[in-house]
Amino acid sequence: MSYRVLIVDDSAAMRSVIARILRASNFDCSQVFEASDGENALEILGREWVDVIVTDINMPRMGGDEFMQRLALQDALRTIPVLVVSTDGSEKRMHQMLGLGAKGYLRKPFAPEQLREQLEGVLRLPHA
Amino acid sequence: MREVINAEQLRYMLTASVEEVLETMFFTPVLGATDSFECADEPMLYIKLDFHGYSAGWLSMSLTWAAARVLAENFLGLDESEAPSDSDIESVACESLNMIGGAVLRRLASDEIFQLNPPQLISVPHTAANDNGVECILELEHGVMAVTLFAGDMP
Repeated sequence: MSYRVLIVDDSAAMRSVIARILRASNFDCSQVFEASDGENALEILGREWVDVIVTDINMPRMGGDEFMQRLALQDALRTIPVLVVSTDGSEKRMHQMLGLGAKGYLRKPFAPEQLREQLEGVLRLPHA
Repeated sequence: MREVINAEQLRYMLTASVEEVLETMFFTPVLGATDSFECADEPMLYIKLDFHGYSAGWLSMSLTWAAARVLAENFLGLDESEAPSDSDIESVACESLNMIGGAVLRRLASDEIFQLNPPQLISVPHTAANDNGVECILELEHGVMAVTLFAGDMP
């Protein structure tokens, strides 16, 4: 199966790196969408279907926590698995985001293989 | 009540965080620490990041443009035929300070929540002279990086 991935991060450099890691690790993604914050992500989700979302937390306009809350309000979106990738590594924050429905949590900095492993876990794929 | 962290411990946490971030995501080893930041005449990049939450404070970074360029090339996975734009270099340097901030605050209080504001480019270095912050100056393969941390009182 080929996946459509939405990357939500206010850093263009970070979005670019996540997309590059996915491609370099042979993660089967047919399309990668990029959003600079939660609001921008919801706009994209209004017109595009994605299989998985990778989101940061601290972002301007709409952060990852509010974005997760907004996803939960919409039947069509609440089932999309979400992996949080954030510099915020506190246990409290991790539990907060998992409580909001995130399926995985990866702290920055991370090694490239960790991103693929986490995504596979979120998508419940066997590890390569 | 949390154990009081002295300046030396804080400096150690900061240095370890910088090394972790640079080596894990920027494939850039830290060659060693130095006492002075002597980069006269070299183009520089200055960045500041404010945080609040369990404790409020800031981090700042000064680094040579040459070092910032190599960080961007490594982070973005560019090959020798590709050159990062100035915007790429600035964006990557900001992201590096963002990650360093997350890493050092996790070491400071792993069970507490901090909010990190987006890193901002600034025109002059922001030092700890008036705030009792700690600083680490590190030699990289292609330049020098100084990172300063000021964290306010913690409950």
